[in-house]
Amino acid sequence: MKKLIGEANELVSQMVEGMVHAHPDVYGRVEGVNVICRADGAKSGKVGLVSGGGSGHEPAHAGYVGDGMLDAAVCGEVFTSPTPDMVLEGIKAADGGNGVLLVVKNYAGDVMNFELAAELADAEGIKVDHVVVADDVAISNKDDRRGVAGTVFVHKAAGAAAASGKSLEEVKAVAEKVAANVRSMGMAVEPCYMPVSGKPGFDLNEEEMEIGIGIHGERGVERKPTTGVDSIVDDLLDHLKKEVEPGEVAVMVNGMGGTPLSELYVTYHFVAKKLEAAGYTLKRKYVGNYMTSLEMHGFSITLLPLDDEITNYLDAPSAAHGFKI
Amino acid sequence: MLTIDGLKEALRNAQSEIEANKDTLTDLDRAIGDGDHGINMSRGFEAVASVLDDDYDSLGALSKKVGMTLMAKVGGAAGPLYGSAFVKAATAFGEAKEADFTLVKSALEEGAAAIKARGKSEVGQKTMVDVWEPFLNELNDADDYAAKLDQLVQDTEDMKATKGRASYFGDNSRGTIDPGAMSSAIVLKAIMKEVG
Repeated sequence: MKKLIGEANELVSQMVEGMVHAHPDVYGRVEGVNVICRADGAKSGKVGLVSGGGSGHEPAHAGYVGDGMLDAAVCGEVFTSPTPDMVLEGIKAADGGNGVLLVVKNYAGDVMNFELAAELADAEGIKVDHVVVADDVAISNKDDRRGVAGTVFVHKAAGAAAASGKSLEEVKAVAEKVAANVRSMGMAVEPCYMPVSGKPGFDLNEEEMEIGIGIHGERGVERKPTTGVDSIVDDLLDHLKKEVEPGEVAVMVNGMGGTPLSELYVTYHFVAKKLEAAGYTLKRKYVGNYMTSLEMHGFSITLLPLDDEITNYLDAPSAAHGFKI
Repeated sequence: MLTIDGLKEALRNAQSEIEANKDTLTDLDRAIGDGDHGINMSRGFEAVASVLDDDYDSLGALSKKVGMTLMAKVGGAAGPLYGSAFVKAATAFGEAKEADFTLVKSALEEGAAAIKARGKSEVGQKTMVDVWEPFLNELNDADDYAAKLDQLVQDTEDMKATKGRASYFGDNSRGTIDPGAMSSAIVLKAIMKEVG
């Protein structure tokens, strides 16, 4: 597989270096670690918001650092959870003296490393709490569900709540409300390729696709013959509609990194038509690359039920490059 | 007796075995995980090898340093799990400069307990625990460890994963050896070799 990279082991640090150099108005870098923080540093008195995970999901998570969203993003190796010492650096960079909330995607590694970091931060006298996002309906057992694109809505709402001056407990409650209600499901027609090994996450032949993929290049829960996007959308919406009641929702059609925008809008076209026919009001719509898997060709659909509180948080100003409002 | 130099030798051997099996570990992880176990373990043990030239005044100090290094360098789920295992084993080794079979066994048992607690996992879920716990339960002397470890690794092949990323595949996780079980056997074999 061809990649536009330098030394594969340097991919993450060179990416971080590039991001900070390109956007010095928004990003700063914690010296010596792959942690992106706000250019203007932690905001005194504001609850800090930290997320992160493996790299390869760009613009997640560093793209969501900025006024109104995250205060720091911890960038692990590609698809590999960052280590506790790195997360601790992120926590310190985000701590404005009023506590720090960690937004963690539900993967064994992420949860363990962030929990360890929270213990380390606690030992240093920083008040830390965390919220785990598990929005992937492809996994039937709710405790095992992965955190995928719905995490971006948690960043946005919790970020806006923190920016409005809410306490750690209040910001956590907002994050938990979104995390409890947001649902996603994804698929792929082509895998992504790991930069170090050069190997695809899974092997698919021309006529096959994976339904229910995660965001780390892993296989889906089901392999099927490829069909048109119209019926793929039906398939994913069938799962989502079981868990999100008709009503006002925010919808996100998220590209997995290797999907042309034209195809994402075609996908969105079907998603919108079908949801409206089923009684959903699409109050907010997001189409683009929000939570990717390197160059994977596929998409995910995310639904978030909306009330006035969450809508206002989604609409609040954000300076983050990946979610500018 | 396991001496400080013996534990260093074990860790160097573990590193070269992991390096030799890097692609196999990664391929197993591609099948039922996210395909980075070999890469992560290789990075972690390379870092471990680089701290072995330092002087340590006890097995506990060395084991703790190894644990902290793994925690900081491996990443993923394996980092906190292996890291916690060595840090916890260090408490059993304590100030000892050498350990007999009984002390090594109890240090490894502490390690196994740390893996179970950190990973919130039990035997039978197709994880590292399926090597650590049954191996230590059946371990009566320093001999004959290799065949037992190989068998326990092999036994994970038919298991259905209910923990970790492999659990997303449900029944499709059967038919592939658990990569964490395999790397666990590599590490345990290297340590047991120096005890005998």
